[in-house]
Amino acid sequence: MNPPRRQVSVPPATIKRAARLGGSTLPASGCIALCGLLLALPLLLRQLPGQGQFDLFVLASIGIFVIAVIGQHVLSGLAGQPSLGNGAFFAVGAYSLAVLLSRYHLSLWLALPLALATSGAVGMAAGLAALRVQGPNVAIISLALVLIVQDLLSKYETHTLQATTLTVARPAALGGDTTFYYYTVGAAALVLLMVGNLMRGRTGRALVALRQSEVAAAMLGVPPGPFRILAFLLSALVTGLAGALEALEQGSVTSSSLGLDLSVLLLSAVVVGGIGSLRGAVLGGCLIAGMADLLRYKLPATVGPIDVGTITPMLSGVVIIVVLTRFPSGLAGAMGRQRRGVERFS
Amino acid sequence: MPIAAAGGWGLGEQIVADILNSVIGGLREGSLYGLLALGTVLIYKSTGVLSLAQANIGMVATLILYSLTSTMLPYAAAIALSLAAAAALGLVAERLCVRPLLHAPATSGMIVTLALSGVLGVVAAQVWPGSSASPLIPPFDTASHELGGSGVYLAPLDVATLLISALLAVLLWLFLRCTWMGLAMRATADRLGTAPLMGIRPGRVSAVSWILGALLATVSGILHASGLPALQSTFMLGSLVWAVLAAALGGLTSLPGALLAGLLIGVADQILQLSFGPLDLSPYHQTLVFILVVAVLLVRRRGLLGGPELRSA
Repeated sequence: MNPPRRQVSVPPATIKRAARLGGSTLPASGCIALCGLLLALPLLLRQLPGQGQFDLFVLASIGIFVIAVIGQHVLSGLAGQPSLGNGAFFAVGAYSLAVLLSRYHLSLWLALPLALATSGAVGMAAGLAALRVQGPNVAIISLALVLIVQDLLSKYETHTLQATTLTVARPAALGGDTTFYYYTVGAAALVLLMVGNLMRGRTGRALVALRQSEVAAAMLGVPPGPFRILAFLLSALVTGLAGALEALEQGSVTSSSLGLDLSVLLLSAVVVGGIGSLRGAVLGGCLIAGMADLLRYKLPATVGPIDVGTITPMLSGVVIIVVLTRFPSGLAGAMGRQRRGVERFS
Repeated sequence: MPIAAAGGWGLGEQIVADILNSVIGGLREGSLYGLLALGTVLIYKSTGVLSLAQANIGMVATLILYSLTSTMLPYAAAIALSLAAAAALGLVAERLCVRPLLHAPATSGMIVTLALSGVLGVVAAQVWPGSSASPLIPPFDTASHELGGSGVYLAPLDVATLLISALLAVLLWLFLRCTWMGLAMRATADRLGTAPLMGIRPGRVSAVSWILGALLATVSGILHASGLPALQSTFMLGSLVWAVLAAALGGLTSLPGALLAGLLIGVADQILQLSFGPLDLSPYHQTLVFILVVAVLLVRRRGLLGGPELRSA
C-alpha cells in the first residue's frame, strides 16, 4: 500500500521560479515574429536568385534535427539522463516508417502512428533497463542500445533487403519540398508547444525534481521509477517522429547513417544549448545542424588541399569544445547568467 | 575471423584447439581493451568524467610512432618519443578541454571528451590519410608457433600483451596505493569538495590522471597496431566502444575490474565468432556481447567488482 501523500503548500513565487527555470520560453512578441519569419521564408527565398527550393530542403532537415534535439531534451535536459541512445529511437522511427510504407504499402496516416508506437516501445524498454542503473551507466547502456539497433538494422539490410538502403516514396499528400517544409515547421512548433507545456506542468516539474535529487523528489511524492520510464517514452516518441520525418524527407533510409554519431550530436546539441533549457535545446540544435549543413552545402567541396566534407565533424567538435569551455552551463546558461547571478547563492 | 570447426561435433580435438585459439586471441584483444579501460576508470575515479577520448589519443601517438619508425631513429627512442607525445597530448587535452569543466555537470565533461575524440580523428585522417603502406614494426615477434602439434598457436606478441597489461595494472595499483599523488587521486575521487581543503590541487590530479590515461592508451594502441597488416586513423574506434563497456562492466571505479572485464569481453567476442556446426551465431557476435554486457550490468548494477556507489551524473 502506498503511504498517504502529504499535500505540501508551496509559495507561488517558488512555483513561478521553478516554471521559469524549466520552461524558459520566448516572450510572446518574439515568438510571433519568429513564426512569421519561418512561414514567410519560402516566399522570401523564392525572390532570391539560385536554389530556393534546395535551401528549403536544408531548412527542413535542420527543423527535423531540432525536433530530435527536443526529444533528447526531455530525457537529458529535464530528467537528467545522459542518454547516448536517442539515435536508436530515431533509427527505429525512420526505419519502421520506411518498412511500413514501402514494403507493406500502408497509408501514411496508419504507418506514422505505428512507427511512433514502435519507437515508443523501444523507449519504454530502454527506460525499464535504465531503471536499474545510475548516472554514467545510463550513458553506457544506451550506447550499447544504439549499437545493437544499428547492427540489427544492417543485418536486416543484408539479409532481407539485400541492399544497403531502403527507398521510401514520399506520399503525394506531403507534396514537394515547400509543402514538406511547412509540415516540418508545423511539427516542430507542435512539439515545442507540447514540451513547453509539459515543462510548466506537474509532470515537467517532477522530472526536473528527479534530475536534481531522486531522494528529495521521492519525498515530495514523485516516484522515480514511473517518471523515469515516462521520460524515456516521451523522448522516444518525439525522437521517433523526427526519424519518421527524416525518412520522408530524404526518401531513403540507411542504417549506416543512423548510429552512434547521431546520438552523440543529439546529446551534444542539448549540452551545448544548456542542460534543462528548452530554448537552449532549440538553439543548440540549430547551431549543430545549421553549421553542418552550411559546411556541407554552402562551401565548395575543397578549399585548397583540404576536403571540406571530411573536416566538417572537426569544426563541430571545435565549436562544442569552445562553447563548453567558455560557458560550462551552455549557451542558455551564458544568456541567463546575469539574471541568475543572484539566485546562484540562494 | 570466424574459424569454422571442420566436421562439426565429430572432431573433438579440432574443436578444443579452435576454442583454445579463440581464448588466446580473446585474451590478447581483451587485454588491449582492458588497458584502455584502466585509463577510463582512472580518469573517472579522479575527475568524475566518463572520458571517451583515450582511444583516439592512443591512435594519434601510435601513428606518430609509425612515422618515427620510418626515420633513422632507433626503435627504442621512437617508442620513448611517442610515449612522450602521448603524455603531452594528454596534458594539453586536459588543460584546454577538461580543466575548464572540472565543476560542470558530468554530461558536459563527457560531451567535451567526445568532441575532442572527433577532432583528433579528423586531424589524424588528414595527416595520415588512407591506409599505411606498410605495417607498424612490432615491438615483439608476431609470428605464431604451434605448441607441440596440438593445433594451438601462440605468438610472443600474445604473451607480451598479456604480461604488459597485467604489469601495468599492478604498477597503477601500487601507484594509487603507495604514493602521495595516488592518495591525492583517491581522495579527490572520494570527496571532490573536501580534497582541495586538505591541500590537494584537483586540477593537478586531473592532469596526472589524463597523462596516465594517455600513456595506457598508447601502450594499448601500439600493441594493437602490431597485430594489424596496415594502419588507418580509425583503427582504435572499435576498441573505444569495447573499452567503455569493459570499464562499466568492471564497475567503473575498479581497476582490477576493468582489466578482468576487458579480458572477459575479448574472450566472449572471440568464442562467439566460432561456428559450432549448425549453430552459427558468428554474424551476431558483437550484438550478443553488447547484450551480455548490458544483461550483467542490469543484474549486477555495480558491475563485476564495483564499489558501493557511483557519483551521479
